Amino acid sequence: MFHAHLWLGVITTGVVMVLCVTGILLNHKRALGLMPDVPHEPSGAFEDALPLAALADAAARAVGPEIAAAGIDRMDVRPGDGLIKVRFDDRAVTEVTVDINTGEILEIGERNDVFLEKLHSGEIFGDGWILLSDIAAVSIAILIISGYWLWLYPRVRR
Amino acid sequence: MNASGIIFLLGLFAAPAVLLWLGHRLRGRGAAAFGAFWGGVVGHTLALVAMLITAHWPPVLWVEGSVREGIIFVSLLTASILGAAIGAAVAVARAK
Repeated sequence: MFHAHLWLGVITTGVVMVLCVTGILLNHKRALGLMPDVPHEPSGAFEDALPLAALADAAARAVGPEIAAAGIDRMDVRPGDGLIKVRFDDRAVTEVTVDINTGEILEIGERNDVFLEKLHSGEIFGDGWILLSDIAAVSIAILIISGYWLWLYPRVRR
Repeated sequence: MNASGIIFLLGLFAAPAVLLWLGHRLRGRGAAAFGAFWGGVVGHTLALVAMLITAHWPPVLWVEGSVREGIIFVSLLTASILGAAIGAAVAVARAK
């Protein structure tokens, strides 16, 4: 059991370290400024909001043709804040925050937390690399169980 | 999977496994094995730190064929081999 614990621990050190560091950074993504965070009050009623196509157009004009050409990944509407977050599918994952009533651009920034999420899952290296985070997760579970076994089993036997 | 992916996996999993195997009953082995083990451990550790830092660079810097590829995909394996080679060479030179 000791050798299994040792071998698994040493061999999976790298991938477990990546999982830990990215996990901590993701937990504190707002405090670390890894994503645009715009405090905003609604400038009108939700019923008077501009159509999605108009908001997407405003965001595309704000980022320029190069980023807009990558296409929109998703649009995240926040009726309570009166804004919509338009996320582009470019390498830097640019996000434009737009007022849903006026179409005013409130913020343009990079969603570095998306990149961290992909690194956390292994997805950043390509399809199939998600298995890396599976290996790390299974390893941690086995290391915890074998660690407890190594600690408690000799005491129980005594 | 491409070649850089295979090199990355070898550096991530195989290099520490080989080092662990080399570290088993290290006292019974020669000076070269002793130097290779510690050289490899130092090389792999330094590469792991460099890989972790590089991996967390913002995505805009993750341009294909850049330093990123070298550090993230190749450094773990090459640093382990280079460290082991330097460690073994130093140990043999000292023994003489």
